[in-house]
Amino acid sequence: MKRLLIILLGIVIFPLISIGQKFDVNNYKPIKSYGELPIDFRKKSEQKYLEDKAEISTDEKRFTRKSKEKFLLRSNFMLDDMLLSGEVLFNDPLTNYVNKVVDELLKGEENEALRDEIRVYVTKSPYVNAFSTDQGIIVINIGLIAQLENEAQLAYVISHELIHYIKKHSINLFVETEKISKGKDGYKSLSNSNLFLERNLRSREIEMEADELGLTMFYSKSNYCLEELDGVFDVLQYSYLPFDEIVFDTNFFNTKYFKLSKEYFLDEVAAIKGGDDYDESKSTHPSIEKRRVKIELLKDEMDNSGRKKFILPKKDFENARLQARFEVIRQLLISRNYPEVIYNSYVLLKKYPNNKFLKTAIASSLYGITKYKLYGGFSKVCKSYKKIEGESQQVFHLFRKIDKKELNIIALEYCWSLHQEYPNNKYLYAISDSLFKEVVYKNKLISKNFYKKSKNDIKVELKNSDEKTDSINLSKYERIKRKKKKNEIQDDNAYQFAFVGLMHDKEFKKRFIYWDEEYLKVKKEIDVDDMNYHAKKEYYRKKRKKERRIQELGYALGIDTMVLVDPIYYRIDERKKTQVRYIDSERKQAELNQIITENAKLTGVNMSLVDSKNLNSDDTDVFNDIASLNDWISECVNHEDLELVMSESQYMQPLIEKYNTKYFDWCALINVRQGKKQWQKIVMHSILIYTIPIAIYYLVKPEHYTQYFNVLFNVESGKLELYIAEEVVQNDDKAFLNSRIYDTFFQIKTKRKK
Amino acid sequence: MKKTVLVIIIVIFSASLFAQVSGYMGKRLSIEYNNMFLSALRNPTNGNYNHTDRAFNRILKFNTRNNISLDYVISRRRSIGIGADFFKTRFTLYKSFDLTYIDMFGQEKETSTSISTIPVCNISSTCFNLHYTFFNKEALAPLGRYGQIEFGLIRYVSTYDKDKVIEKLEKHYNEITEISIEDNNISLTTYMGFTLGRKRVYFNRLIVNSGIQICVIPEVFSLRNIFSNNNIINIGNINESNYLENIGKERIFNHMLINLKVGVGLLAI
Repeated sequence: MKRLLIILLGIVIFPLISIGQKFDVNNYKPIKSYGELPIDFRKKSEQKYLEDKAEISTDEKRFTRKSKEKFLLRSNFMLDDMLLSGEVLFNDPLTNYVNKVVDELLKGEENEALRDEIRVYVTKSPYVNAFSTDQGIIVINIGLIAQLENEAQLAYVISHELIHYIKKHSINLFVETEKISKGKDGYKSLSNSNLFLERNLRSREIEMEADELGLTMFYSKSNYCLEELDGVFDVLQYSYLPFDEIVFDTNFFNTKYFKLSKEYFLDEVAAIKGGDDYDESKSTHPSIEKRRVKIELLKDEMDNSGRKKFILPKKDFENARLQARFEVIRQLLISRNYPEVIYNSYVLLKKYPNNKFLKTAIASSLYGITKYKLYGGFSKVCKSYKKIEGESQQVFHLFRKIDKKELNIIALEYCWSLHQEYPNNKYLYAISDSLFKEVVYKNKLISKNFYKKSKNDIKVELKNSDEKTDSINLSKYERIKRKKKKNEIQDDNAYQFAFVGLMHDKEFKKRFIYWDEEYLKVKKEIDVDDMNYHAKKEYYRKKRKKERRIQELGYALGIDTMVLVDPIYYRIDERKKTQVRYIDSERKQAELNQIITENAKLTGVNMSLVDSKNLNSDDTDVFNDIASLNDWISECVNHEDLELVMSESQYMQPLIEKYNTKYFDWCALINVRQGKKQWQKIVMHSILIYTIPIAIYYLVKPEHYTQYFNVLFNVESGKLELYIAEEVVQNDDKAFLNSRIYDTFFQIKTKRKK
Repeated sequence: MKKTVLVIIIVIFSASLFAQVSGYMGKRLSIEYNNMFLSALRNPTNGNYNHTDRAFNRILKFNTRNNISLDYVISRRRSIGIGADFFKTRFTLYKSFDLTYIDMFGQEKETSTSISTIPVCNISSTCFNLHYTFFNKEALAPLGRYGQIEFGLIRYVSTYDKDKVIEKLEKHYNEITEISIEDNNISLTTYMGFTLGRKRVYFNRLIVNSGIQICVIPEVFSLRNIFSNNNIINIGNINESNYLENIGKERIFNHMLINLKVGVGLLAI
């Protein structure tokens, strides 16, 4: 019976897992991890550090030993911070694919032990990079996978990283750098600038070594094609460019009724230089050309016969790369690189013209750029087009030159049209509505400012009526109106025709009228810039009063259920060179979790703590939740004070349903021990004789300050419900923590008395 | 005045009504024992005190005061409370007494004399106060740095052992029949105080309080220049009939003027 049950479960579960992992291009979902949580994600950083430390030979010089300990401490904790942030993936289709390539590369008995040591993960970083750690972890960015052309190129990158690991390059470079900066072992006579150059030289030597040995030790022994090595350096050289170089259609945003001016586009885009002006001496990596030549020489001595670009099925690579490209677009959206998102999506739309994700990404970007253009900070989301090379420069130029009003209008037109296509998508409706608000509130354009008929129709209408009506029989006022209408049509007011197609949509019209009315209702309150002196003064007085009231009385949100996401705890000693006290921080974090749980219970808040530092092997779901939430908060933090509907909010619904709340809280505590700063007090108390004991107390007592941050968001609307940022000149004792945490939960739970 | 008091009370209680008060982990009421002390810079507590003592000796002699207080947190950074102080002290008689005695010839005579070195006057005092504590911006009541204003009423009993004085004087004068001094006095006065301090909490219940307190009795300012070292008698409004009341007031003023505060307490509910 039991066996039957297992077989049945097997039949049901395994297909489900494989379905979960399959990449559906038409229904793209953010990439996530699957299966059992690897030990790298579960083991405490302190434990990892102690284990690694025990392996350092006691025969080594004291300085080298101490430097290595320092490196291991930092690297273990920093690596764990990255692993647990949710940025790194495991058992997902991309990681699985990369691991298969590693298997292929390390085939054979001689590499068996090495294969067991190596763990390969993919990280959601959109930048072209890969790295390996001293602990045997190789991390490949999705940005790199998105730019590669074939499996062989990926295999070479992995070969390169394998050498970094087996040669212990990271730790050796760190020790060497320590020696250089401390002036040990013959570095004594070097000036600061020479020290810097020396350090970079060492790093470049290491990179060259990894290139050479990667080829000779692993890549050449596999069946991967040697001709593809040159392609790897092409990928590196042009890594700053989008996925592809295709001409951007200047009519892309044009509609039947509204066309963007040709002035917004360049006649010719800047040529691609590919980093010709690369100054090697200031870099940790050798120039691409140098590396290319070196590998070319080595390659010539090897036999290329029977080698392949793809050992695994080509389709697997293409699927992995496509998924990486989609994810890169999502990550670029999070980091507000809107023109890049638009161009990359445009490139992919050529192949998938009806892809919902890509079209939504363009809508999100248009919305984001509009917001930044209207509220300031545009340069944060759109680099100067002069710095851009290749076809994507058109997009950067367009958004730099386009008028705010026109941008708002094309964004609304695009988003609303997409909303019509996907009426059940709440996110598209939300951004369209937000753009409506901006059209009316910020650009002061109400529905009457837009025509319901096209320019041509109106012209024809006027012509016909002129012919039909005897102008002598017209009244003075009718004549004025007709003249006015004729002038308007001839003026440069093309944007007023942008919504001709949409004005027949009842919902669109209804929403426009709604915002018209709202605007008229609150006109006086919202236009702070237009207010007179006294009104402005009164407005700010009321605002300050409200802020003071919150400070004095606290928030009273009346929230019963919430989720606290991955609390952060850092202990810092400003007096030391290695300022972060990693081990102490990890221990304190565990204590904080306990305090949080106790106080939530005490206040009656139904709180779920999702903590990446206490995960079990079957907590992959929680890990994925943390990853999604961290993506959401990253986007939120990137936007600083700007209020807008975040693109990540479209992925929050499953979490809201799972935890039965839309309120998610992030908290952080940073305790800093600083050098003596209260000398004034010490001197004063010493002079006053009676207070000498107080002076002694201040002299002996360590000086601390503690920063406490807490933000609670409604992840559905993106509204910041609670914001606490305090700096207290006090140590982070238990009473302090209890007091702050209890108070926070209290503010969340209680309702204001009337 | 009444109106001002009323306004203050309304403001304090309205803050309490509308505030969302977390206290310390939900505990808002605390009971504390505090001790206020400082070396006796002006006048003694110690029975062996001699007003001719040099400054160094005075440092070693302490004024102390015991206090019990009950505090209730009314908003995130405010609390109100009531307190009671108890202390005993003494003072030296500087006064010249008019006395009538029988001389060696059996004649009744009148004279004036001083017994300034005999510290036989005791003061026993009880104070009741209302206090209002405001915690600084960084703190959350009842934990952290605070300032405290208190207004109180002092009831003190000055007792004077008349027989002992007569006994001493009779070493110089044969038989004293009359002495111009009252032997006890019960008086009331008001005071106001200000404390700067810090409260810490241990084990989620134990409060440790420390600070520095300044108290003044406004009435004393009308009596004399308090910073003068002149003999109190024959100055200002002090006369034979209110001698004990006023000299006691001045002693209490000195006792309470500036003190260090150390205390422990419990967070109740």
